[in-house]
Amino acid sequence: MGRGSGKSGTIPADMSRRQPFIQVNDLTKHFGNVVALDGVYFEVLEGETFTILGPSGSGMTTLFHLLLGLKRPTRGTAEVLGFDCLSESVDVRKRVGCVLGSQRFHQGLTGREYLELSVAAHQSKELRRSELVERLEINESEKIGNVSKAEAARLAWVLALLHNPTVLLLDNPFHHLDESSRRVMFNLLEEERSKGTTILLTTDSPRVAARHSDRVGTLVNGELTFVRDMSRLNRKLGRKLRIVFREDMELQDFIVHNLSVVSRNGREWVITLDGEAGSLLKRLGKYSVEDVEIVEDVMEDILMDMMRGRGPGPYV
Amino acid sequence: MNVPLFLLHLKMSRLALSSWALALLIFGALSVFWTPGITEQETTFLPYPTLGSLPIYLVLYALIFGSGCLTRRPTDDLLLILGTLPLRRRQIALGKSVFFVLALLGLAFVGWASTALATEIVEVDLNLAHLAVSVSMGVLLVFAVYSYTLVASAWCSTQRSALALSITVTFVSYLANVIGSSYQDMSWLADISIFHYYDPGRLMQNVTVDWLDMGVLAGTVLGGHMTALLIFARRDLSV
Repeated sequence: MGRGSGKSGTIPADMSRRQPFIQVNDLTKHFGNVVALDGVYFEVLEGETFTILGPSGSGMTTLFHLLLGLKRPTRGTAEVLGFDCLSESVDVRKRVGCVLGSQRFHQGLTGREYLELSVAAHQSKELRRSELVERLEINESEKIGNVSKAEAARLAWVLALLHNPTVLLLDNPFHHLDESSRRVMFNLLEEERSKGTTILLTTDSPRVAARHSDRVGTLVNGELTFVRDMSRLNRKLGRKLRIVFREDMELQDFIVHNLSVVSRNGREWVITLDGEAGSLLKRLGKYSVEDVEIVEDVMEDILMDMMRGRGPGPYV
Repeated sequence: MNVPLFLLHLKMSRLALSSWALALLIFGALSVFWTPGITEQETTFLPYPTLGSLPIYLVLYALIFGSGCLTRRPTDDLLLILGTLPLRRRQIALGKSVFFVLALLGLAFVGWASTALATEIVEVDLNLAHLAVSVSMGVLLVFAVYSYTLVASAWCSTQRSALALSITVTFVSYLANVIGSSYQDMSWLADISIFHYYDPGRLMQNVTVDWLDMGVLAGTVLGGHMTALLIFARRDLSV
């Protein structure tokens, strides 16, 4: 374990026996007087999805460039699958798939040409090419300049997954995607997670971090802070519900032991529910209910606070 | 640049030394085997320097191509996707150089062949072997320009600055040759210019390859490439 992860978050017991596939120790990068990364420590274990949440310009892209050996760190080291990211960067890149939000394609080239380049560079068989191309609706023969940004972004995913990588490095990968493409990508991401692919994901979206991570850390001004285990956080937070009754309700009419009221606005109540929902449903059955909605912004609010450097508050 | 072509030079980069050797072999063959037998022919009206100096126009290509060869960082927008692939930086740079060698040889051949075809059509008596020697020497000059442009490319941080530096060097070198050739007491200026070592008019009319000329140009090529590689190794990933 790195120093930072010990300071700001623990790896769950069921994961602790797994090997670290990504290890980052004291990773620091300065550009002149600008500190892009400042002594970052973390590990990503085999099969884990670790998300780094941060605003644009917080150093996430620099972190990926260092992991891919495209820049030399000012201080510190990074290893992927035991290979040093600087001196053995080619070995690293053989084994990882990357989607970099900042990457651009040459407008005059076709998807097919990029796929051929990737296959040749990885010296891989085209195991998943037809499946991915069909599923992500890539028009291979069309020049990149003639396709939408969303299709170009989907092509980046195909290139990343083409060679069945052990580790996925996803830097703001849902950038430029329309809603339907985003859903397809979320499904792909979840499939990779269930297959046991180790994933390092960066995003500026608390929603993405909340839904697609085992652990989340926040990167603010180049510093990694507040690393948290999501399942533990979820258990502590419970769920937030919005209930609209058909008639006015009194508080005492509607109290169950694992429920607390966040707010009331006429017939509309917002509550948090900790644990199983049986007693609440039983109680709701006695009343005339117009609507029930699960509001999932609790975690997102906390992650947003973490991203703003305010910490996770009293929850964790 | 087309990806299949790029793939070709990625593969060819493994054979970069062989390609260079082949290029030099062709040049050597043209110089050594063809030179002794091509002294008597003369054309009637075609201006020899114009025909022989065809490769000079490829200097511009060398400057533009060479200046971007090493300056562009792997994190530049369009190159970033290459940066995610398991390709070595040297492999990419070498691939570009191999591509340049092949492209230049191809272009020079096309220039020679088109001249040959043209003289055949208009029935001009032109010794094509003279022309081949002159073009080959010109290609060597272009390689020399390319090699110091590579040095600028390895040294500078942007393609624009590398291009500006190499254009300046080329212009000063050309000017030195012009001045040195025009004024007897300043002939030393011509001696320090690489353009002095390429004289298409002389090669076309009186084909005797000066081994000193060839040595200076070949030395510039080798020295430039070695210097560029040394600087590249020291400065690569410095950002």
